[in-house]
Amino acid sequence: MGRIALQPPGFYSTVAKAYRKQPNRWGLLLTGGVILSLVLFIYWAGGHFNPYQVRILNLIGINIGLGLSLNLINGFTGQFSLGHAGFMAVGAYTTTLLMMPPAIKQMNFFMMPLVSPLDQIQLPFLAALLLGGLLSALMGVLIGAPVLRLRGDYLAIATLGFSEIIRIVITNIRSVTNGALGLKGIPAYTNLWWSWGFALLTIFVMTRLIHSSYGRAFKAIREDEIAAEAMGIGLSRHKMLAFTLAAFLAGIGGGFQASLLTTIEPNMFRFTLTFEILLMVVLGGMGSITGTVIAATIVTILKEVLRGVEAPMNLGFISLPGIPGMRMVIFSLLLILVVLFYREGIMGQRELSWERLLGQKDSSPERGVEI
Amino acid sequence: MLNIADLHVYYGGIHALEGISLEVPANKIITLIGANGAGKSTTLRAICGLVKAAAGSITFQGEDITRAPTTQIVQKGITMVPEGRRVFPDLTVLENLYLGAYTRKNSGVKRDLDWVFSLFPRLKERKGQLAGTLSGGEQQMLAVGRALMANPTLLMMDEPSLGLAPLLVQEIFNIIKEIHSEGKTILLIEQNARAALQLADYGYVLETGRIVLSGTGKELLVRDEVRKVYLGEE
Repeated sequence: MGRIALQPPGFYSTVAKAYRKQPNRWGLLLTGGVILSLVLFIYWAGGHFNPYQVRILNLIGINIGLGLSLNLINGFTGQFSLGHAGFMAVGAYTTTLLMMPPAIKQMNFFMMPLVSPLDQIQLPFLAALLLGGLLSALMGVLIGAPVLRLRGDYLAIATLGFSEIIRIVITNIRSVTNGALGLKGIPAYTNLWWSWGFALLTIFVMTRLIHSSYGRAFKAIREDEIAAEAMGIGLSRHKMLAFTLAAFLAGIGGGFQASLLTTIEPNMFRFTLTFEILLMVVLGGMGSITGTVIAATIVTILKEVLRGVEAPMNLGFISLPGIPGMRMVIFSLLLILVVLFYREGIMGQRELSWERLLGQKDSSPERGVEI
Repeated sequence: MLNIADLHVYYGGIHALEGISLEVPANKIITLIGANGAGKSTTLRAICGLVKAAAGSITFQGEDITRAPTTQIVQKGITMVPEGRRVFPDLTVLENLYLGAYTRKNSGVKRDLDWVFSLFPRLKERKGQLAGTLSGGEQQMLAVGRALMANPTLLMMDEPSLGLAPLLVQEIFNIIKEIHSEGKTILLIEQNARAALQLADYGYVLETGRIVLSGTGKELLVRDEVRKVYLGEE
């Protein structure tokens, strides 16, 4: 009790005052502090949380990365893509096939043997992940080249179609993917360090990218394609860049998820998966990094909390059988409500920054611009 | 500096430019006037590569740029202030200005930023503000400033006075003069034909995709066809 009382009531204003004097130095210091406490928390959680809680924490980390990658293309570049599940599938399958030990592969492929070089290959996790990301990025290039000429709804439909094509192809090339049987016994390498490392790295890359001249060009394309083009910004080049990078990160996220769940099958990568990530992006705010981080955390936790609604319910006068998929109904309603009444999402296009939290309130914060 | 010879542009089946030839000499103000749909904006779009020419040629400083992509054309020194301002509303004034300098490397950008701020002190005051929250006149100034950030040799302006109060229109024309006095060549489209012709060294009159008249600004101001159709005089 004494310790809490010792905390000066003006703790916030003390920090704010110091921050206002030297914003750059204190901003860096505070960011370092947050990262350090996160690292300590992860270290602590690894020992104290039960496996269920650890898994949720892992999912949050992975979802932050996935959400940010979708936000790059949908929120920052303004190209509404619904193909994320497809890219995640490519990443998940590639990573799995490259790192799974040959003995487990043999057990999985009992209907039809795995094609020749793949059945002997076993790469380290990181290498498999990166290759998964790269193959997914390559798919991004192949799909993006024709599809990114489209705009708005048409782009959304086309990317959704390609995502489904990827899933159908995976279902049918049984000698590579084991088809609808899926792959089981994937080595569980994903832990809190991996998933949160992925989250932090994605946050870092996104922040740097968005504040670079590329990021500014992405936003210009989102705001007004014609004006952006008149400024000499190559539209297709920048759209491709954003799309490919998003596909790369989605592939890596898929790889992490495969290794976390240890089982994958094609039906995991249906549209509902894209939808879940889309919900994080829209709820957090299209074009806000911190918004996506917050929303990814909320949605991931909510998904677990809402498990209750899928259980059989006895309301006294009526007893309902468990309805699997009820959570998706709630999430869909949530998305509809957000889009109807709260289109900005949690953060809109704003960011939660030290400037916003601690800087002077009377002057509007100036956004950082680097050349 | 800029030469257009027999330029044809189609939008689908519509023949928007039916063989336009014009010339923009260095350090001059040239204006295009004409009714809606005459092809003024299309001409500008074709010059900066936003629409592709079906036939004819566009030469800039001796180089053929007819099929060059917009990025290259901007790098070579042609920039357009698009019709209706088209600033990036959710980006700050400063971000908008930096986007104008997108095709440039570091050198000189800071100097041009200072120049733009000295031309438009209001923009400096509001550099951290979102462009969408500026007034119409300020947005037009931002659009001009953004184009100047590309350090163009030829600045093309598509109806810069559109939708502005008369006082602001005068201000915009003063600024065009000032930019011109800094050694920029200007190709101007205006619906305010009188002001444009008074300012311009040379003018072209477009009608349904063709040039029907041309002459110095003063010559055109006294031509009967121009006075009746574009200046509303009897």
